[in-house]
Amino acid sequence: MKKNTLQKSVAVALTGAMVMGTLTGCGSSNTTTTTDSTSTETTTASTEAAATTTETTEAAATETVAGIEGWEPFAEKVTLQIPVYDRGDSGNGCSDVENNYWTKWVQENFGDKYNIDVQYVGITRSAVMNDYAMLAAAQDLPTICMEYDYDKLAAWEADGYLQPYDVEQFKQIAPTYWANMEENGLTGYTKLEDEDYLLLGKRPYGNTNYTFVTFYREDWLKEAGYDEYPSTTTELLELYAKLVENGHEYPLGGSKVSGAGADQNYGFRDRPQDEVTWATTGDYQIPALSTEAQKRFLKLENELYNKGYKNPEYYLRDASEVEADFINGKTFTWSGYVSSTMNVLNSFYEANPDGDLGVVVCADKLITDETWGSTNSFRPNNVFGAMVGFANDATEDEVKAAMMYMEWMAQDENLFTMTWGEEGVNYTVGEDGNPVAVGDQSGLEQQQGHNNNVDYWMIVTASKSLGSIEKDIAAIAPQGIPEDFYQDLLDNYYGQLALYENGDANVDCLFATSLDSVTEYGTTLKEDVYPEYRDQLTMCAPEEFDALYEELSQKYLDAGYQAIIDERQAAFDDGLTTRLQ
Amino acid sequence: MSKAKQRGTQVVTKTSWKNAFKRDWQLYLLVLFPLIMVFVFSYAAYPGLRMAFMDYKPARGYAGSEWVGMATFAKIFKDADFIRALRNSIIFNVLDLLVGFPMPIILALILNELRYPRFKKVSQTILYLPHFLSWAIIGSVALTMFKPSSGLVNIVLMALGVIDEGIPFLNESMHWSVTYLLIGVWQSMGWGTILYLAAITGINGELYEAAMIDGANRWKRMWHITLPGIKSTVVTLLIMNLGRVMGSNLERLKAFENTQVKEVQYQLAVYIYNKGIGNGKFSMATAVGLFQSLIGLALVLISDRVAKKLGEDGLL
Repeated sequence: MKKNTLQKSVAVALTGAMVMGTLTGCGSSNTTTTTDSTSTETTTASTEAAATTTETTEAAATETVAGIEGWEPFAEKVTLQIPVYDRGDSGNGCSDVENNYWTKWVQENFGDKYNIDVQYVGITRSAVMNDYAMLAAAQDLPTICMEYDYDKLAAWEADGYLQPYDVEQFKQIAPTYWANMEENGLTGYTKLEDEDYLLLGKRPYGNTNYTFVTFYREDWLKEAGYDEYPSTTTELLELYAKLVENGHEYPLGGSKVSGAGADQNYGFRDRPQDEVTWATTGDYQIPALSTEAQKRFLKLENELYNKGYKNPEYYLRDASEVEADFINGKTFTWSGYVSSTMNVLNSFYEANPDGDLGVVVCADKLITDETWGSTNSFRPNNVFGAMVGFANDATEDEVKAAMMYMEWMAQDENLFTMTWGEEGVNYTVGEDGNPVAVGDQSGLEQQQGHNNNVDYWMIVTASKSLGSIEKDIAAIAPQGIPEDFYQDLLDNYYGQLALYENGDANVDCLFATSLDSVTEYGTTLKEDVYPEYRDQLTMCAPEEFDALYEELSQKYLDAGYQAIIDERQAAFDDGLTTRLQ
Repeated sequence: MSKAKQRGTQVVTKTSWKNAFKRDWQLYLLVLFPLIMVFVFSYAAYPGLRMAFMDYKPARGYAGSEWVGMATFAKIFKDADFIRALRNSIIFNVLDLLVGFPMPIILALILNELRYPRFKKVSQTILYLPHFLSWAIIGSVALTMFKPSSGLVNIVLMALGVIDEGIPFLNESMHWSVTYLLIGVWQSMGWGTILYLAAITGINGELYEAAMIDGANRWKRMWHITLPGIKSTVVTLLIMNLGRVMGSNLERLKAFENTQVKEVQYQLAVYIYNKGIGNGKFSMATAVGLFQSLIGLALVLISDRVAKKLGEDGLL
């Protein structure tokens, strides 16, 4: 070959490759990873199954027999995209949420059977709305759109993300799931703007918040001369002073605050609550700056900061540093969701072999601190868990596949396996015959996702349940550590339940309509404005607090919070909300 | 002389397009790649700009979203946060330009004067390195070093008795501004020298020899030969940098973000990300982006015109 010809050929080849590379890059980027687990065997099987049913099945679910019995494989392969939270460093399970042992297990046991390609789509836990907006903009919403918060679903409906579904069709395809909804009183929450958009997972013991607890250093408590964890804010402040005296610098640590759920004021509200205040400012999503309850909350934050109980650099610190402080024995408390596998506790006992921890237990009656206006009340959860809608661009078959997936996951045996994993690997059977999760699953091929795969089975239930709270708490009590918190967790549950039943803890108000002002201002208020103002209020001199609170409250109202209050009030007046229980 | 005669004596240099392509087709093929890149990533995105004039809802697409004309712009210009972001962007970018633009030139002149090649190369490498660090890393390192009480720098200064309490490098507006600008200069100055050093190598060495014979010292050679020699490069880069006065680097701002300095840290990139993209308001993000680009374009065109009036080559 002549040198010239060679050069020309190379030039052509290189250019072609580069051009193709560019054009490939411009194609619709599929952010999902196919759970391409299908072994040759299963692929063949499903192909054969599909081939044999081509003649008879247009769609998967026949109209005669309800539930799984009536299902047939789809004639053409259907792609089903399901969102799964990607919790990054804050998760405690396997790192690849889109493609792992359990996503493959779903594909093999569900997808392949019905000619459905199950794809999981990672959704950043801390940026749910943003991720969904990006997917919507790319016309690539997952078939199922799922979240725990009602207002997010309402916003999605208002923005055209969702399509309504046929309740009768759902009952036909997924009778078990629907029965769960009926049993838990959830069928009244399906409508948005008078159409059926939502399906709801259950939340066992939703009237409490028993899975979120605060661990404290019992050894520090005893060292300070206390036998029990203080029950009022005033007593707590006295304890903190003693902790500092005992050489524990900044015993409360602290990190920067932002986003949904920040600075909840449930323990600072007047009880019983005023219904209008509850409806207009009582949610946990958008901090209620300008209310009396938030003022009490922030005044205490100001005290904690100025007295040196909080780390003065808290606004520069991440949540991971709070965890690290606790693990390293630098702080008094750590709060988080409790589960059988808790990395933070495993690490704590490793670093502090003599460390002695306790769980803060909610008293079974309302205790009020007159000085700080605080109580031991809390935020009960909604009665429902995940709320499910179907993407507006999902085809009829895709919606059917999604309904089938929900029904399949709601089957006891499937839910059990997804929750507990494999016997002898992810769990063992205790003396009482109940499963006991393996505390540390790291390194296992079968390692589950965060909190025993919760982000996969949340579509059915928000927490695992074996039928009684005693069994359920035994199942989530942290395993593989020197201390047993079962009794404390149980007492905390019953304490919260007593407050709830006495009307001293109330579920948030729900709106049966989307609120434009929340969509317009909500994110900016909670992500941008509130963190700035609350830090100013936390760090100001105590004598300046009241005046600054007035000033910043007005600014906050002007930045959109007043519009939100007004719109919520209007919805409340129009009877479009739930009522205070 | 008649025109016919003139033509007869001229060498025919005009090549037809066809001939040119036939002769250099490999080169044209190679240029196809960058052309496609420019088309796809610059021009193909242009239809998306209509988002700025619509109440764009991602799930509804262009067809299903309402056309609102200039309403988004009107809303943005009334937004106090936008005004704050605009003010900060202009102030900090102008300061960045004032502090950051001359530094690579000075550095290039200094590097050019280094005579020991090994030392010169090592210095250059060390200076280039920060360019390759991501802002996330720089931000974390800066946080560890400059925290008000637990930062390394403050701990050392306090231990030496130089200061009684920590310098608020990152948590007080004025200190933050200086820290932000200087770290920006540190990160980019080494890399910025590359173009100037390349321009310096293009200067005719005989000029230096002649100047030396005439008794010009180093300073004079630098002033009268090197600097004029790279003047056109300086002007070109200045014009290009002026086009960026409305823009800002989101990663850099996010790396140094905290609630205590929001008054100065809140710039247009943050505004677009937080209020626009983070909030799902693509119309707003596009409108601000378009506004930024138009101002940037105007600045480039004006500065180019000014440069040309002053006798420089300009950019366009």
